[in-house]
Amino acid sequence: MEELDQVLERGDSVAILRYLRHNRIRASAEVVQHGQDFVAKGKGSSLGIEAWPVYEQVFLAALDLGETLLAERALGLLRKQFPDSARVGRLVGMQAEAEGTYAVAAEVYKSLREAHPTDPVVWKRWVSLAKAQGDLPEAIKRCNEYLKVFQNDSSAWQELAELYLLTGHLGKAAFCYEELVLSGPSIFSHHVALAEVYAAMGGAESLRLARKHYAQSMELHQGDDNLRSLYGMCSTCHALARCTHKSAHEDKSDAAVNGALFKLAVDKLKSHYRRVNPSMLPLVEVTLLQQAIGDASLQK
Amino acid sequence: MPYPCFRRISIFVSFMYLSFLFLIPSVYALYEEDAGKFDWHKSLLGPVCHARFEGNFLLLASSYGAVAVASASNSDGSLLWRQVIPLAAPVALPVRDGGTMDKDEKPAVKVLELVLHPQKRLVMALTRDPSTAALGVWAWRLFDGNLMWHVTVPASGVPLGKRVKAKEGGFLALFPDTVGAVDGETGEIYFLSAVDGTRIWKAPAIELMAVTGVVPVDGGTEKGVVVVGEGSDGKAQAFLVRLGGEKAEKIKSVSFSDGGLISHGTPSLHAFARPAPARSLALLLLSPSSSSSLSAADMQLVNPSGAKATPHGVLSSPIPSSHPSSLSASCLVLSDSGAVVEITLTQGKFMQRLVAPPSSPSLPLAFRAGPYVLRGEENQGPGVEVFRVVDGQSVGRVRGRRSLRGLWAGIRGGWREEEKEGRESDLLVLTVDKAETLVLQTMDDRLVWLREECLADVAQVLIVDHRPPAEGEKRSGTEDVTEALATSPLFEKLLSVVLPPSPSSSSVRDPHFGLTKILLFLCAPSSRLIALLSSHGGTILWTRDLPSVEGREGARWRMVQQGDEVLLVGEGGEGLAIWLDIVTGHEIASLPTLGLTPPAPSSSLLLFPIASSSSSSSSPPRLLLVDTRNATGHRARFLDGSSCAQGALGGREAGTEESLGDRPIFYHTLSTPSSGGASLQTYRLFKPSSAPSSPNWPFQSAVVGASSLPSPSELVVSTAYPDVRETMTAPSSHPLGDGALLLKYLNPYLVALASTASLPPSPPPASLNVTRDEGSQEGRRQGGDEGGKEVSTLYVTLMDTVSGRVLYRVSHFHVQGPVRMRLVENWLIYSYWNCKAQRTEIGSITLYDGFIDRKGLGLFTSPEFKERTSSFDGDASPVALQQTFLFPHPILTLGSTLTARGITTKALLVGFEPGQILLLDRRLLDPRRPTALPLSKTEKAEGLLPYAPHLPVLPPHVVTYNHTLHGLHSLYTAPSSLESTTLLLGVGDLDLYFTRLYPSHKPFDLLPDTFNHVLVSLVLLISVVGVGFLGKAAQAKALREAWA
Repeated sequence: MEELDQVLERGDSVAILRYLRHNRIRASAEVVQHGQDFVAKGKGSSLGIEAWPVYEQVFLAALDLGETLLAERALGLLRKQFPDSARVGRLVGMQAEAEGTYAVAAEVYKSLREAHPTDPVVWKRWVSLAKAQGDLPEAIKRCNEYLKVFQNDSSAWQELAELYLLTGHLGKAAFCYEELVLSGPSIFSHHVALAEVYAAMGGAESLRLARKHYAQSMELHQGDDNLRSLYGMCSTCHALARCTHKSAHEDKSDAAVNGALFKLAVDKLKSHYRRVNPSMLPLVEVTLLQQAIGDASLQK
Repeated sequence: MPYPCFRRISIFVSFMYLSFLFLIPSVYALYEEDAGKFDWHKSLLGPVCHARFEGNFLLLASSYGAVAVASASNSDGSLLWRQVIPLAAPVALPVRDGGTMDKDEKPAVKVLELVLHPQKRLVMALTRDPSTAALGVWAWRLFDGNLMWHVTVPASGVPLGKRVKAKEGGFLALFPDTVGAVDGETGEIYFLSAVDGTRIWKAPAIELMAVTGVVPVDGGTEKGVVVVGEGSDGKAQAFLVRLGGEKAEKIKSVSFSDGGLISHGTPSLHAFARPAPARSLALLLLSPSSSSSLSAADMQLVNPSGAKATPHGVLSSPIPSSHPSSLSASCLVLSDSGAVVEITLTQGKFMQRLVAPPSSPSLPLAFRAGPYVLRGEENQGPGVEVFRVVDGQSVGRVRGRRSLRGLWAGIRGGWREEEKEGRESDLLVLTVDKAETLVLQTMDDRLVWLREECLADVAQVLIVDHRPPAEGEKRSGTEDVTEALATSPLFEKLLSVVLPPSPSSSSVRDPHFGLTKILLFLCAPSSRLIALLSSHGGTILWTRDLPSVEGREGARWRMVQQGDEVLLVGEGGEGLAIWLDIVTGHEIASLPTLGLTPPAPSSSLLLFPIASSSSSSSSPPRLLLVDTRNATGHRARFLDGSSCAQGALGGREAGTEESLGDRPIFYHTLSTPSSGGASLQTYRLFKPSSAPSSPNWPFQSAVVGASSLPSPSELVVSTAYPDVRETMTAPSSHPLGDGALLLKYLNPYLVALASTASLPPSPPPASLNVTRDEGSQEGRRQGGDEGGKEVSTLYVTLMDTVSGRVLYRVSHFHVQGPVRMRLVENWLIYSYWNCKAQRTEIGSITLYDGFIDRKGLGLFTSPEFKERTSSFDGDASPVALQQTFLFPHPILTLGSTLTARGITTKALLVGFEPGQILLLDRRLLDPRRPTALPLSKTEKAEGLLPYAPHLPVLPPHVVTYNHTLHGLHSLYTAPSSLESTTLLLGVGDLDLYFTRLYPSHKPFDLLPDTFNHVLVSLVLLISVVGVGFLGKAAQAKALREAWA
């Protein structure tokens, strides 16, 4: 696939906008730079039916950059063309959000939800409105309401998990991430996120669960560049090794596993730095050595 | 977003449709309705002997008795109409092998004079019929050639004198309502009505030795003609014959002291007259003297005799004067030195003026047209020099091609006296050269049209596949090159899908279906080779003059195709061989001499193409030429393109030998002496490997077999050989109605002999398989009743030319020739005239080799019959079935259809009087047509028709439509790449006709006539529009949903 730099180098505004749109890249400055002519100078008609997504794209980018006039102009064009469109209605709400008139936005989203109760995007805007206002419990509430209706929306589960993490509800966040792991068991990032939550929860059981999910993540994404898993695995193994609440029988077998996983993670990390950034390697080795010094089982 | 996906699909589908639209035109198709549109007919004239310009019309007459009118303005030289004057009585001629004969043997009506009657707009010809020596006057309407009337005057008069050698003389004198026809032989004058040709009055014979001129008199009441001739005393005499008078009035007798007829007997005395005021007549008589001086006399003056002009040599071309001066007469004289001199007689004095300077060597050709005199020249290459009469200035030169034989000229649209200058470009020059190419050119050397009249003298025809030369290859070196295949623009291709095919679009498709052939015509007397393209209405691809063979004038040429080349072997002198490229006409190789001493008659030379041992295409073509003159020892020449080796072919058997090429080469000699009898001797060519007699000469031949006709009095009248291509592609069996198979006797080495004898039919020898048909038995009974009167009998004998055996023999009684024969696969067809029953009969013989029962061929059964693959296999003769049919017209020639794979039903082509071709289904001529009715179930299943003696001539099966091929004598067929289609070339004396045929009447591999072009185009159009519309609609819907 073509790289963004190459597309930008060519300077074809339509192609740049199309590339950013299709790849969902939020490069607002570039979008405004290349798209404002289509909106401001009325060149959009040359785009054919591609004009409307471009207007929307420019509108969103203009909101990002605070270019109120440009955003208004783009929205005006879209409202003129699609007066009854829910999609445009959402944009109106977004504009109100950007201007800080949350009440107006809430009103807009409310009316849209009533008119289009199955439109998930309006629900999501409704959640994000609460989040924008800093009302995290309300956002969690609205997100839960949403998930009652759209249970298989992974991104919503992820959002809810992040909201719970923000509010310190680690157990609930872990539940959300488990839902994500269930829906996408082969996605390593879900395992990492879940493992981090378990690791944060602490305790031998949770740490072991964290180690499991780190290990699954390493399994799904083999290689030495899954650094978050590797570091997580090191720290989890370290934490487990230092955990004192365990029986002698468990201790023996688990220590071996723990040591092996720690060694694996350490080896991969070393190989990664040796390959990618050799200057950092001594520092990493010292750090990992420090972790290993604390526990004899990890020094093997 | 879903909508770009829809959009892409719609764009893709539209693109596919468009690609489909552009791809279709390259898928060529042939349509049934092409039939009847792409055939062409060439009307020829033969050697042109008279021509006359009349306004925009050009009257032409040829020495083959054809009279035609052409337009001087059209570019293709096509004739507006052509009429061939028939002979009063048919002349029996000996028929040669294949039905061809030399043109000089063919009698034709001589056209003595050709004029246009200006008032009645009738083209009039005075003719002499050589069969009856009768004089004829013919009148056709100028515009459409309808014969208005014709009068024949029987040759009843006594010839004028013994010294008259040219018995063809005759003159026409035209009056507003009457025509005077003067018989130059008898001196009789007939005045005929110009309206209907009824005889008004016959003038008494005039006492003249030879009539040399006739001048119509049209002044006041003295309507009549002045006839000028040579009297018995050697003096020029002039008679005034008044229309409706009772006697010929001798008005003047002029004696020339040293005059007389010149030795070569051409009409030597010429009279020129102008009507003058006061009912007087100015008359100028010219007579060449024996000492190349010229005498002239004025008939009008008191003492005219003895006046002499300065000698300028022998008159060779009469040039009538149109000098407007009254009481004077003038004429232009071409001397033997080439000078043109105007001699004027005014007030009793002769004046002379040089119009064109002498030219040496000059052609004895000159013509006057309006204010110009044209003279043939060869100084700077063949051409025509044009001089102005007024001042003798040369005003131009018209380039010719070859040595000229005839010259005529005319002014476009006629000429009036007041237009004397500035009309050079309107002068039209018509020339005919020694190779009979008729060329009409303008004064500024622009070609108006060109006609190759030597195509009327075709000796041999080859039809070969046309493979256009590679791009960039030039066709220089040949003349008359016409662009062969025009490249068609894409628009035309597109149009060809939507619209029904047009003749112009056929040029694109024809080469793909093998419908474009090159027709090679070898024209005998002119030794020219002309290549015609079968498409484009028979466009001339190239022409080539063959060199004259040293030691013999008018040598006979033969041509053989060898791959992409044609080999021409000249059989005069010591022989000459030339290899030419068929497509371009370029000479590839030649052998200046074949060492044939003394010159061998063409019938004793056999040509065998020998396959090259190396596979490379650049190796020269090889040929073995066997000279069979000496019956005891044949000699052969081996030609390999660059050298010619020769040696004797021994007549002995050798122990071990190598065969030449893939198959052994057999040849035979068939001697048919004119005294009667025929003997066949067969030989085999081989290379002895054990003991080569000479290292340079590897070929030997050995006698294989011999056979002869039982009676030495039998005269062979016709022979026929099968076409090897037909035998090779023929299916080997014929399925019967019950599933059994009749195995055909397919032998490429057959010869059929037709011989006649005027003897009472004798019992046939026991060794010969003789059957008689019903009619012949009837004939024998009749013959017995006549008390042993001699009966003319036809014997048809089939022989094997490898083993020399007689395979079958049949006799017919009361038969007269000509006999036409055609040997196709296992089928012999022959036609003859039954003089007892007064009808044309067609005999049909089929040969079968065996029979396989219905259950004889299966998974577990194999027939006991062993297929015969050699002429030496077994002694049993094939089973022959014979039947006779009646045909309602005299038959001129026989042919058969030939297709690429031999799957299509065979059909017979019958050329019948008066020059048409009939496609006759083979089933109609099947000897197995059952005579017992009703037909059995198996006979019905096989599709056998009940026997009916009369063969129908159904107009839809006449492939020449409304064309008549005058003197049709040969039919040539060639296969195309389409199995259903055969190409046919019919060659007549004066006509060529080419067409496509569907022998099974069902063009099964062509699109039907009812192919709905409009519907297909509409569906295509609607689909394209629909896809565009639906694409737009889908786009709109996708947009609506995306922004809902």
